[in-house]
Amino acid sequence: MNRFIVQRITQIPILLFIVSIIIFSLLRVTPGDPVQIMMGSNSDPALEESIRHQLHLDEPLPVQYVEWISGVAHGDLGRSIRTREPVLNLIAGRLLTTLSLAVAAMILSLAIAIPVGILAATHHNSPLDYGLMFVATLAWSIPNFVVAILLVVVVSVHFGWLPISGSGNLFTDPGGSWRYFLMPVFSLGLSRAAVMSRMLRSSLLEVLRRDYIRTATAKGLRTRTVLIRHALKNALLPVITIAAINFGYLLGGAVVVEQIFGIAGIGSLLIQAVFARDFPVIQGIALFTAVTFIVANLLADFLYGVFDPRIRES
Amino acid sequence: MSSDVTKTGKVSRQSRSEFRLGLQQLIKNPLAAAGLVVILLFVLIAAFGPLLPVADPLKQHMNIRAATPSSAHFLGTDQLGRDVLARLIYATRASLLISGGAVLLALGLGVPLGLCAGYFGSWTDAVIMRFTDAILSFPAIILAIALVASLGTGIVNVMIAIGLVSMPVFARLVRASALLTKAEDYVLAARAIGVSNTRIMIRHILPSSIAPVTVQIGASFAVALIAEATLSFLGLGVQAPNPSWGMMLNDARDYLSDAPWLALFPSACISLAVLAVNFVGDGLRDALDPRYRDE
Repeated sequence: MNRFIVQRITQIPILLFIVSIIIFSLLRVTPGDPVQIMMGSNSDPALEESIRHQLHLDEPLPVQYVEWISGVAHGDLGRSIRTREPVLNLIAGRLLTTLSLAVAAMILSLAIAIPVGILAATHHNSPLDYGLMFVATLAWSIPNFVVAILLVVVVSVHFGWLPISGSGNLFTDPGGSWRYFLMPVFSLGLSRAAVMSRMLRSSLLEVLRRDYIRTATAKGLRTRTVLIRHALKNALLPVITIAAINFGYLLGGAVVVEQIFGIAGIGSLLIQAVFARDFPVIQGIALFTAVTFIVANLLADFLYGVFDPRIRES
Repeated sequence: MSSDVTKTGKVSRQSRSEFRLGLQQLIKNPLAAAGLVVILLFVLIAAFGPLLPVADPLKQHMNIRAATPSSAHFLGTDQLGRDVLARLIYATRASLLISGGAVLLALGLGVPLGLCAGYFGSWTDAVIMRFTDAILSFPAIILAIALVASLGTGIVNVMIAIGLVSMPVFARLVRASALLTKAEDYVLAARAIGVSNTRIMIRHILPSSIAPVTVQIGASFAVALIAEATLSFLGLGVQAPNPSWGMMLNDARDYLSDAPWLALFPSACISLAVLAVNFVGDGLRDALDPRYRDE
């Protein structure tokens, strides 16, 4: 297990190197002069030159990369072309909002997926199983922004129960901000709940067919004990991996959900940066989300070992 | 030599007949069959939509803005008085074209890369797999947005962006199949008699990955449909005045209280298309994956 984790950790620098090459290339594959694209056609040539120098675009490509990556290694992701603020500060200022949205969506999706997956597996091939899996496939098929718009139409416009937009922080001010977060969290978490419930159902079905489950049932244990103490422990393992992958989806999904509900998070910062052609911010957010995703996957691998003695001892 | 070749031929034929059996099973699955019908309907609309007697999707009628559905405009008109039905029909073309093109690009890049990684192993495998790992390290939609920001908006660039982020999964699938198949006797025999690497990869190794790749095409097409709709919704996909489902939904956001149907129709199209593809994808998985076939 330790060897596996060490092997995974040693792969990370290589992975980060290739990720950094991809992010570095984003600005360089732009057709035409990236500075002119960022500044528009009527910009001041002196300002253009200063931006070109700031982004090291006036130097050879390998030098550009070394300058950029050494800045990143020292926590300098550059400055926003639009606001002149350091990119790291911009991301840090919005980080908690996006994280609270993603974490709340993750908790909600698990809270829906676990009971649904268990019910479907324990009622395998029954109308309840078919019904739940049909609804799960439906929920999986509706993009989060469609769910968000439909929720706004019904919950806010028709019934007026919740505000259409607003922002806050679920960690620091849960009492004041939950009303703003309810619809975004639901629209973000619904499809993930569907994916995880489908995964848990098939994983639980596979475990329930194993000999040790038959033995536990044969020795007279209650069905609930067999399910919770023996079957679910193993069946939840693949869900850990899926949950880590889902965290990446949630960060990506936050982009569009934040736009719809006017939440000032990293997603809405990214869209503002894309329309302003603010490449340092786009690169900074891409790097930040990739690193977060890599860490989440590493954590999942580690948790897998913690929860599964077979992997830990192998 | 001839027996090996014959044996290879038999394996290939067996794999093909299993594939055909799987497809027959797919049609017997009611949800998958319904999904196929819906997809076929969307494809027909995309292909022959312009021949249908519908209004001009770009023509504005400022005197009938956001009109409710009527006999003159079956699904009403949008905020600029354009016929919603006509715009949905033309939007179907854009969505299917971009999603289909993206999946083809992902296949075209991912399959050869996966074949080379699995067949040659060693450094080729390490380099290709670390590259696919790096692409998979990004949340897909964020990388697609960054690529579109870099390449520029428009149908082709959106197709390229979605295709690139969808590529690694095909490379990994084909690599896994290639790793298993390259140790088979018939592949070793083909190498021994001097068959070229390219021919071995195409004739002997590629067929073993047809079933998993077919299942993945369904899943990737659903993801591509959602990604295209998301990018268009954010204003980064198809550009106005041309219609797309995502853009129509975004336009409808300002009229949710006065004209909610403007949001409902594109929402229904996106969800129905993805649902149909997911049903077919599930059906394909059940039919072609032995683990599910026996259930």
